[in-house]
Amino acid sequence: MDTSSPTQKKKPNELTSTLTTDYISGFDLISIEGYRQDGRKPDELRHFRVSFNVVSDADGSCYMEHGNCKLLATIYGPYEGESRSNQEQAVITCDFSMTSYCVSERRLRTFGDMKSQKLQMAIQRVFQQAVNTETYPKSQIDIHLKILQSDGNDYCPCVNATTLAFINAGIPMKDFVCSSTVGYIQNKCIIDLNQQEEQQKSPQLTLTLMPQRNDIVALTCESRVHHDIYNDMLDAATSANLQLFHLMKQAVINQLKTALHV
Amino acid sequence: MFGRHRRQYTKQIARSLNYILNNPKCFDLTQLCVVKGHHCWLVHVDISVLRYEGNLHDACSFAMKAALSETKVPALKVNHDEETNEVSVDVCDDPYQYGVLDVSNLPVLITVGQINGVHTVDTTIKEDSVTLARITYGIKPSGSIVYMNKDGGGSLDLLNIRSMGKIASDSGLQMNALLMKKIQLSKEKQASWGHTNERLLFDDDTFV
Repeated sequence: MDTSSPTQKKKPNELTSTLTTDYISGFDLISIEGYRQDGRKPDELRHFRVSFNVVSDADGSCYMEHGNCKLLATIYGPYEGESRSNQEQAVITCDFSMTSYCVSERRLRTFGDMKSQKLQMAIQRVFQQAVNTETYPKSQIDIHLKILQSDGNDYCPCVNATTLAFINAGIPMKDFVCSSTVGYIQNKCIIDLNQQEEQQKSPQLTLTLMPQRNDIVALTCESRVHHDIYNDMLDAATSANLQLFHLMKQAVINQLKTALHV
Repeated sequence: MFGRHRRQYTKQIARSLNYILNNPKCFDLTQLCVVKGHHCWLVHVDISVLRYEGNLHDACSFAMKAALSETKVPALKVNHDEETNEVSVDVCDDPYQYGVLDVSNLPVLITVGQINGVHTVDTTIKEDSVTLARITYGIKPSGSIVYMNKDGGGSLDLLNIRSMGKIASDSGLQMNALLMKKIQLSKEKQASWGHTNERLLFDDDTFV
């Protein structure tokens, strides 16, 4: 489909930094009818499924499938912390690992590399703020995350799964914590990017939000975003997180109903 | 079990499974050959333990045997040029064209332990921690022993070892038959589903 007609020359303030890459790759990330490569609309989340109490040994656990991303989050704690731990608050530690088979090329270094460490620190910081740590002084809460299958961004499904695992563990939190990515391709904001969409050199940002309080916990953007589209992307990300929040809340309610035989 | 001991334990399991896989009498390695002298398939077996409740040796071998029986080997297009001795291998585009591996002779590990003179099979985590001596046997579907490894600081005399071998042989026979039956049931169940993707991993429905 040849769309490089002479009338579509790039105007000076046209926000089409992604257009050239789209045409070079030979396919449209968003088709004319408005569907993405995996059949979703631009404002549609990937298929979201959760299962609780997967690891009966742990205090809380959640197995989540978000599109093609499958991961397991387990929470141990709160338990007695080490002697050097914080006297007034609980200490939250995070351990992130992937399996060798989570990506298409077998991965030998499954933990301890840069990406894992960055993710661990990010999640630890997010949940240190979100959890009511004052209720558990001198104690420690462990988060263990294991990616069974990865589809691009691991951070967002990890945050969502950890929230649900905390709820399953019964540890009080200030609010849910939802996280979603948003990109800007072909003049449209698209939410919940998968690996293919993420690899395009398009403006993207990741928003971690407490939906009911409307508090932004973390906002990461590692690409160039023009300030004209920045607000649109933030709005799209917020609505994506609200959608996620409703799905997560529904999952928790369903779990409670089955647990209480209602 | 943490730190150094866990690493040693898992390395021992890997070694046992490695021995079983690379033994020509247990697993026919020639089925992995693509072009003799040029190309062959490399199989990686990665086992992720989600929960340890004792008897990990046996569980890993069951999982490995089940997984290998379900492995889909992609179909290949091979061009072997006789004169220049050049081989070009292309993977077939069709994901539904595949071959399966033959694991009918693959043995299964059975760990027999001794607690206070009594021989135990399939120990739980508490029984594992009090077992001073255990032997891991590799048992083929016919009941014959192909691998033996003694673990633990305790000692065993010959009479005990002989009776443990007999116990392992009998249970190995049963477990092999049970495993193949469950694999068959699972395949039938999967055939009745449309898309295997729709099932959650830990759904009760997926288990047989």
